[in-house]
Amino acid sequence: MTDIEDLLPLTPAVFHILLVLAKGEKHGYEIMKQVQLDSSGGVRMGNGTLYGSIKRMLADDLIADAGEKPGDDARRKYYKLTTRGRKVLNAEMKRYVETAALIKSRKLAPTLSLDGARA
Amino acid sequence: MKNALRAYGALLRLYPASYRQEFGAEMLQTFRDHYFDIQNSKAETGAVFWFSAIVDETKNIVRQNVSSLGDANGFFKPSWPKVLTALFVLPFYVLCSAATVKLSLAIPHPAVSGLGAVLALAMTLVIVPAAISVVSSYFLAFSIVRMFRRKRTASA
Repeated sequence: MTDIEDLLPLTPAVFHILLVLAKGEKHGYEIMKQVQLDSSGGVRMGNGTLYGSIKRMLADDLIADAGEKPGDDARRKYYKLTTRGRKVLNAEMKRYVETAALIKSRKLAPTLSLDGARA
Repeated sequence: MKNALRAYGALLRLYPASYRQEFGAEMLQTFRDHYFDIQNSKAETGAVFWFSAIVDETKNIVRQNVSSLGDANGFFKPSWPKVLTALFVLPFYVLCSAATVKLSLAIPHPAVSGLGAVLALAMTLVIVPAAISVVSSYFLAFSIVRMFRRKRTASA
C-alpha cells in the first residue's frame, strides 16, 4: 500500500471529504453540501468529482463503506473515515499548520489573521 | 424531475460498465437529492446547474474511461509485444513505400507515375508514421501505467 507521505499533498476535494467524514458517517449528498459549507462555496464539488474522489479514496483505504442507515433510502450509501484516512488527514493538517506558522513567522501576510477569521 | 433523471441516466451510460455498476445507483440518488434541493431553493438556475453538472461529469467520464482502458481485456489491452511490433513495423513500411515510389517512377505514363509516387511519399512520410506513432504511444503509455499499477498492487 502507498505510504502516507506519498499521498500528500491532497487535492482540495479529497482533503475536504476527509474533513467532513472526520465528524461522522455521511452519504454522498451530505458530503457535497458540507464541503460547500466548509469551504464557504470555494470548493464546488459536482457528482463526477465527488464519486471520482470517493473511488480513489476507497482504493487507497482512506474511507470505507459504512453501509446503509435503517430508515433511509437503500440507495444512499454512507461512508466513514478509516484509521489510515485519519492518519492522512492529520498529516495534511500538520502540513497546513506548519505552512501557516511559516507565513506568520516571516510576516508574509500581515493582513491575514491566522486564528481563523479572514481579515 | 423525471426528464432530469432520464438525462442524467443517459450521462451515466458514458461511464465504464464496472464504474457504473459500483457507483451508478448511488450517483443517481445523489443527483436526485441535489436536483430536488436546487428546484426548491431556486439557488441556481437550471441552465447554470446543468452546465456545471455536464462539465464536471465530462471530466470524470474521460478520467474513468481512460483509467479503465488499461484494464480492458479486449483488443486495447496493451502489452510489450504490441509496442515492439508497432515500432518495428515503421522501418519495414518505409522500405516498402520506397520500393513503391521506385516502381511508380518506372511507369511509362508520366501522370500516373507522378501521382503514384506522390501518394506513396505522402503515405510514407506523413499518414502512416503519424498513425503508427499514435498507436505506439498509446500502447507504450498504458503499458507503463499498467506496470506501475502492478507494482502498487504488489506492494499493497
